[in-house]
Amino acid sequence: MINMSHVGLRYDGGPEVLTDISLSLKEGSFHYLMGQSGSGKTSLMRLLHIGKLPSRGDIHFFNKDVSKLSRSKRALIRQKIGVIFQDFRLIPELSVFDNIALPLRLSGESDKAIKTDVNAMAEWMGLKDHLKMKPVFLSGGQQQRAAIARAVIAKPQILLADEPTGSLDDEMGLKIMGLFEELNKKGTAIVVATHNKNLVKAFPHPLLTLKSGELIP
Amino acid sequence: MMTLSRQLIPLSSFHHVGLMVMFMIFIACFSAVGFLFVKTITSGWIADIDHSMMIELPPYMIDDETLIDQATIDKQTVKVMEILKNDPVILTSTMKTSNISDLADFGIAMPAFIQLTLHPDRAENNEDRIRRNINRIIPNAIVKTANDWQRDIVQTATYLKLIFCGLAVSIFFLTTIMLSAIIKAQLKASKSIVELFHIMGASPSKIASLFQISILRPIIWGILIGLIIVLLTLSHLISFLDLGFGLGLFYAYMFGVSFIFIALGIFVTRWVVARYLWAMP
Ligand SMILES: Nc1ncnc2c1ncn2[C@@H]1O[C@H](COP(=O)(O)OP(=O)(O)OP(=O)(O)O)[C@@H](O)[C@H]1O
Ligand SMILES: [Mg+2]
Repeated sequence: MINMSHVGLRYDGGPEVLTDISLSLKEGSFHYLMGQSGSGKTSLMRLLHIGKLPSRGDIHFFNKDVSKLSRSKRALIRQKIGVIFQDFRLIPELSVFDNIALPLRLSGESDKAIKTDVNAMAEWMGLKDHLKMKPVFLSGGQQQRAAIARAVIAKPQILLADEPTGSLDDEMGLKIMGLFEELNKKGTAIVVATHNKNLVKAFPHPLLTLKSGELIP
Repeated sequence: MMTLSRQLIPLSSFHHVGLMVMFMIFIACFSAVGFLFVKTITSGWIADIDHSMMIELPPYMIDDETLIDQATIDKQTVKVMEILKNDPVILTSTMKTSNISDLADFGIAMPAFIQLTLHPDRAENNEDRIRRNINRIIPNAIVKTANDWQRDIVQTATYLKLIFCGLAVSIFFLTTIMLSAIIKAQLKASKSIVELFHIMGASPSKIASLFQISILRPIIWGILIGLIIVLLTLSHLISFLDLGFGLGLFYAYMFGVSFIFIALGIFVTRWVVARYLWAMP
């Protein structure tokens, strides 16, 4: 699904924060992305959801070189990718319900289908009583669950999760990982950036380890 | 998209767009009325003075500006009338007496004006001959043909019409500039939302449509209210002045202007959003 070869990334002509990255994400694959703070995990995620284009090397999405695609084609690829941001990025003006519903609204689902899906997802996430609230009135963990719900609700083919359990207690963390496992079994390629060694132990998967912007084997 | 647009772009952010459009609609229609007014009036005048000549007997010599007294001017008038009397080409000749007769009481000589109407078929060739005949006897007589007058009127009218056209065109320029500034500001205010949508795979045209929906609402309101004001004031003026053109033409223009404003709303939004998103991959 995604192939990177000898990719480098720099921000605004600064130093390279990612150097010579080559990796391949296949359908149904599951990777952990590990590395110290500042090692480039979020930056790599940005390349994976086409939030940035590589400064060198090339990335193929579904066998197409992303740098050579038109903007509208890139938009189509992004629609197949669910992203859980480290900083959640919930829209403060929208209720939790509307935040979770965003991807469905963008893909033009009917109001009825949206209602059913969002309610079911909120039930599962334990957010049912908070659907009408604005995100600021939620705890950190509740916000994180809303962000996760938004990323998975449209059943993406690729799921990128940047520290998805950082604000969750162990029980909820394991529950979320269970959800990821379930999606993964249905074919979703998943990358989870995390510092949490317990998760890795509980759900073993191959590791991608970054050290100062380089993947170490 | 309707729901999203309503949720994300506060209605208040584009309120002033409605007010602006209302004002612009009024100016655009006002300049059209001005244009048509000038056009109708001048074509009326031109028809009136066609095949006519004007002879002016000024109270001074053209060459050296020496003054002439009233008695001489009166004598010149009689002479001119005599020359004209037997000319077969001339249909009518009318003395236009000056109505500032008070001045005459102070011994100040008044110019005399004689207006001629020529036979329409033979006017062309005879204008010069009449001018020469009169100037041979009274060198300081100023003889103007319809052509001379028309040239002045047409020139002035052309300037006026250009001004009104320029006004109408600059309305659309101004609207484009103001609209794009307003949309740019709103894009900056909604920066994080726009970025998020971009990452979620919304295409530029989808993001643009969010803004389009919320900007078209005040534009349409502005148009409606603007048109009502125009109808209440200008169309009344048109029928009152009896400009010689049907209101139908004016309604068509109003319709066209409204259409242009809506089109501007759509295209400027798309363009500004596309340009904004150009900075993102
Ligand atoms: N938007 C940006 N502009 C410029 N430099 C950036 C930007 N984002 C990250 N960096 C730099 O890139 C490097 C990698 O940052 P990144 O956020 O990818 O690390 P990380 O592994 O996600 O860290 P953490 O575990 O703390 O989230 C850092 O040196 C950081 O300063
Ligand atoms: Mg990070």
